[in-house]
Amino acid sequence: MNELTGAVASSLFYGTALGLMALAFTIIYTVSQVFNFAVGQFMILAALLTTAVRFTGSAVVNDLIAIALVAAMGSATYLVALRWPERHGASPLTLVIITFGIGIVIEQVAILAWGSYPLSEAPVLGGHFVLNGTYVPYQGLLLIAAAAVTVTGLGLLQRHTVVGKQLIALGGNRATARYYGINDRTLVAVAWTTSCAVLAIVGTLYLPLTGVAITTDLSYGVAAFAAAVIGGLGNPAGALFGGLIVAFVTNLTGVYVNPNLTDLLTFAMLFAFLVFRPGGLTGRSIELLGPRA
Amino acid sequence: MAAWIARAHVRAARTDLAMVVVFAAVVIFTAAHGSDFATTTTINFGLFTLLTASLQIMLGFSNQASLTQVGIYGVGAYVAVYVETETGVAMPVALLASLAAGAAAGLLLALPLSRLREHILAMGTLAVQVILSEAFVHLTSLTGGVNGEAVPDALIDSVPVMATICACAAGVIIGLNHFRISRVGRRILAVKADETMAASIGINVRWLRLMAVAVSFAVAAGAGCLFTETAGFISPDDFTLTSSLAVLVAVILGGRSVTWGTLAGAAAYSVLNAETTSLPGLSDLLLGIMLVVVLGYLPSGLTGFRVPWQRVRLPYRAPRASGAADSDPTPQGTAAAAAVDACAHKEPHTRPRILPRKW
Amino acid sequence: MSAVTAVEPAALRVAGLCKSFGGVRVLRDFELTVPAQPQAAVAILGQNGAGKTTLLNLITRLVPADAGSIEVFGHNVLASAARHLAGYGVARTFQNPRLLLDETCLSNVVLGAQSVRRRRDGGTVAAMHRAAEALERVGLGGQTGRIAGTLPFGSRKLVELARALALRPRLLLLDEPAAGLSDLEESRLAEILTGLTDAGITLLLIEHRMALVAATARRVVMMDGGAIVFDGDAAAAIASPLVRERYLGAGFDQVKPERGKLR
Repeated sequence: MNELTGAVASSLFYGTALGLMALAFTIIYTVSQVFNFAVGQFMILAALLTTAVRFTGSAVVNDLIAIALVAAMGSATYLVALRWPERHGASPLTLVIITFGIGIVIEQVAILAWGSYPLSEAPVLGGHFVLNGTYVPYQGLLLIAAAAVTVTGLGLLQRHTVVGKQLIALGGNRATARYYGINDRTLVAVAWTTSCAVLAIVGTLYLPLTGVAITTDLSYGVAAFAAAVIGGLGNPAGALFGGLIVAFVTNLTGVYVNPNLTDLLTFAMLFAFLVFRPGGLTGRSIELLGPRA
Repeated sequence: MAAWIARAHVRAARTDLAMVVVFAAVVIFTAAHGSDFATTTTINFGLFTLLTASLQIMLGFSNQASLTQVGIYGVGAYVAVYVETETGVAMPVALLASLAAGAAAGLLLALPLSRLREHILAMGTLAVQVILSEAFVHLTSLTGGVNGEAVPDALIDSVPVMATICACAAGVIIGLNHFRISRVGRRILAVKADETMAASIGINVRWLRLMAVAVSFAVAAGAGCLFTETAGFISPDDFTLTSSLAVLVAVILGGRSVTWGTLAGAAAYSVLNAETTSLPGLSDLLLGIMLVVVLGYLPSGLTGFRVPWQRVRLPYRAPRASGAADSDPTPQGTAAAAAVDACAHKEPHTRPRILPRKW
Repeated sequence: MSAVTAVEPAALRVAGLCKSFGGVRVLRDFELTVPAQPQAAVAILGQNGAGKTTLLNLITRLVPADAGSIEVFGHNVLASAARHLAGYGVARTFQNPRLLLDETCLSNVVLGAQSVRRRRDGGTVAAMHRAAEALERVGLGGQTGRIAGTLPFGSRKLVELARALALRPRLLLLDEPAAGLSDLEESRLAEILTGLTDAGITLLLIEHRMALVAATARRVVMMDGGAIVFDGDAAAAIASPLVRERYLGAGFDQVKPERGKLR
């Protein structure tokens, strides 16, 4: 019983984190058809900023500063590395590979700055309570609460502000949106800012639960992509749903079957969905399927 | 007319000769230099050229981006080691096994991915690469896990192996050169240019794309087998997604020419990589920077202005009525030949302006 | 008609064809039969959006059909892939010519000439001869070495037509062959097309230029709302009040049909 509670709790936290990462992924995808595979590195950067660079004494203020910084970095990244190629006819594939490059650069610079050993954690909310014999950290609950607030907030912003509605229009058809006077390039920068802010929230709240270290692997991005695809690309609710599904399936398999299989299972699920159901569980079709001939 | 076709291949042979000269020069220079470092660098360059050529088959000829090349390289390596340790056969047989494994993997993976296009396809290959990486680590009975496997009878840093690898690299590039002007090569380039049009004139698009993947993976796996000959030891760290990204950068850096582009991209990346291997983080940082800069701001690469395929162009001589074995005796045939012949004296073509192109 | 000719399968037999894009029904229970003998040109008229190009895309399998059947010379098209159509003797051109603009005209046409293999075909050499012949037939015999990207639009359409001819088709589907052509090019095209029907190729052309239609087509079919509303010859079409109301316009009276010539 202990084990199950622990597994469920950790799956819930991981799923929330993964869902938020997939949501960040989806925000950028819906407006610009680009997959941002640097999600993991932005997240880790936010965590590193709070643990390694203590701006103030208060953990909460540190977190907020880190979120603001990473969000700014997100839009700076877009403006520097993606805006010019996009304007000059780069295909979405090229832009995706560029985001891999961005992730690697962030990672290596962070290693140069802070080394690759795990850093000490500074959770916002210390302590835990005990449920069924398992330690459930309060920070995890804070993560879930933050996720709920973020999602609701973004949904409200999207529906009730001009910028939000313009983002929806942009996602529908970019060229047409331009004809309506929507400044697409600024808005894509706004999308990147929002997306990286969400990633920073995940980084500052979730990573201290699991330990903060830069690792030379790109699997966070791939896991977020898997969650977004499985839930349904382009669908924010689907992204969260996908995150929870991936987390529960892989984590529970890891606990009860074989802990080595978690990553493999994530990637295998991604492959299976890409091949058999690229629209994900919510079933939206992806335009980039070739003819049956 | 048949002579004309032969002449096209003979014209292509100029590039072949140049390739042979370049690789021979590299081999001779390295052998003369004598140091282990030089030999290792050249071996890495040769292997990387093979990988770049394999991706060129998929991306340059068939417009299928792939992030799996190094994973298949690993498959070839592990298959070669397995075959050699289990059955003790010599390297050429292991090479055949690796080639077969690569081709089989290509067919196996290309079939489910065959309906995907562009970046979704690339993501599918990404999934395959990371699955392979995980498999290399976790299928310990076959691969020795994280600790890797020792290679029996490996010849490390030996000049003959280096020469063999460079010869193979030159051979593959020469093959690409002649493939480009062959009938199948031109059809696959037509598919790359416009898939719908190709299907409407009877070209079997699906088969060509499948074959491109199978051949590409066979070359990558073969390179993996050659890799085992030079490394005493292989481990999953040698076959990561990061390395696959490096191969992609090399192909794009090379540009549109499938022969010189492959060589230029592989050489440029190898040189830059060799300079930075002293600090491991630095070569990854270099890769990241190259990914951003090359793909974003230098999309045409180093050979961007070359047109990749051979034109069927005039002048060609219509066969004479007397004695030509392949002359066409029908009235339409000679009329057509005469009309074409008349054009032979005109200026063959005007050079097209470089049309703006998406990349 | 004797019993012998009745046995030969029709060049094109479409029955019950339905196609919708999202909520829009483009073709509803569409029926059309074009007999194989005598070879003639059939023109398809209709407003934009009537489903003409969709019909061509369905026949050539570039778009999947929702329901119905299509048979070409007796072969079931809906059970085949796009690449099989060339083997059945069907070739098509596109509204905007799809060529390899970096290659020569001969090169583009050779791509078609090499696609369909018949017995006693030579290799590349014979294919090049066939390609040169096809270019000669469309009047571009002197331009075989020219890079396709340097050609004007009308000539590019002719190169695409030559490529379709190099496939040695029995049924040729043309999508607005005269669109974008000057008057001179259009009258040359009329001569070329009547030459093709005389040589035994069945033509199905979508066209808006009534002069070309009258000069070339023996049978005119008009599509409206996804079905055929008129089926007759060119003179009857021009005179028909239905065609005038839905397509030509009441004041249309410029064209006097005369086979093989435009004016």
